[in-house]
Amino acid sequence: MAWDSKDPGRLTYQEVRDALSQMGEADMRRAERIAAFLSHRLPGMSAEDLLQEVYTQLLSGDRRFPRDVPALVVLKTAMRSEASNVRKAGRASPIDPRFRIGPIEDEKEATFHANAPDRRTPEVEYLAREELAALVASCSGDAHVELVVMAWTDGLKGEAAREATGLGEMAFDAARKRATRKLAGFERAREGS
Amino acid sequence: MSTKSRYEIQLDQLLEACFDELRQMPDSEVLAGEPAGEVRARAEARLARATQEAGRRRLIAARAEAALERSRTPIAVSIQEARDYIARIIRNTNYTLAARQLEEMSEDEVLRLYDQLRELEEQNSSPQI
Repeated sequence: MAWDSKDPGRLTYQEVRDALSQMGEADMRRAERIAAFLSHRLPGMSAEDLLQEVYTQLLSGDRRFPRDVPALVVLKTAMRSEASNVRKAGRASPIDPRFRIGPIEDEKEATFHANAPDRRTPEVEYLAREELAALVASCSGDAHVELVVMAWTDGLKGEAAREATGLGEMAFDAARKRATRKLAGFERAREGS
Repeated sequence: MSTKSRYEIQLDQLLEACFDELRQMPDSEVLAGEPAGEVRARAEARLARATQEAGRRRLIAARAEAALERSRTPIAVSIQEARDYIARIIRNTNYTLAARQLEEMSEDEVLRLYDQLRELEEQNSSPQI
């Protein structure tokens, strides 16, 4: 961790503060909605916790804020990464016995590094599956929305997604809007407040 | 090699689609009737909390880095200087060490004790978190 003043591709501390505080209100709300999406069933972390954690990491220099990338995109990417890390850390314990500190190999750098095994464990798989199932369940009861979510889950977008659902243009447009509102928690009370 | 599970990849794809839709959605629909001022107040409070926490983490990291640096830096004092320093600290604080014990210590022990006392002194003079 540290601010690397020799890296011109990242914002400085003050620039990070400015970028976060100068976001428009709608983008601030979009970031909260993405946090709501990502914190579905996330162990021990609310949407607000997730959003504040990435704010903190960006301000402490733990996470790089690339220059010329919109703040909302940076927040989304950072939250997705952090949510994945939280999922991998597991829900049971803050201490992961599979994670061990390795030896210092480069005396000049003297950076402690961790030897992490492949983290594709059954528990990580289980948590991701639960999270996905919870998101899909939030759309249940609306057949068209379920079709849209299935297409999106398969990585399809736009016309390819519409074709996969078999819906007409108007029905698809209406369904994808309803799907977004459900997935991003428009109907739920704001979390973490 | 990707370390993502199948379900994580599906979650990512769903997120990307939802994110694209949210970005295309008109601002008024995103706000859904909530006053913009309330959203901004919430974001400002979040930024203030995050700024405070980031400062705390930077301080902890700086201390850890200083401790690591100290452990790598050879002690650059003579044995006599180290003995004098230890004797002065013992006199001025409530640490217990008889003068004779200090005289009987090996050079390695003197230097180790010197290093420990320096570290304690630095910690005591640092602001507490």
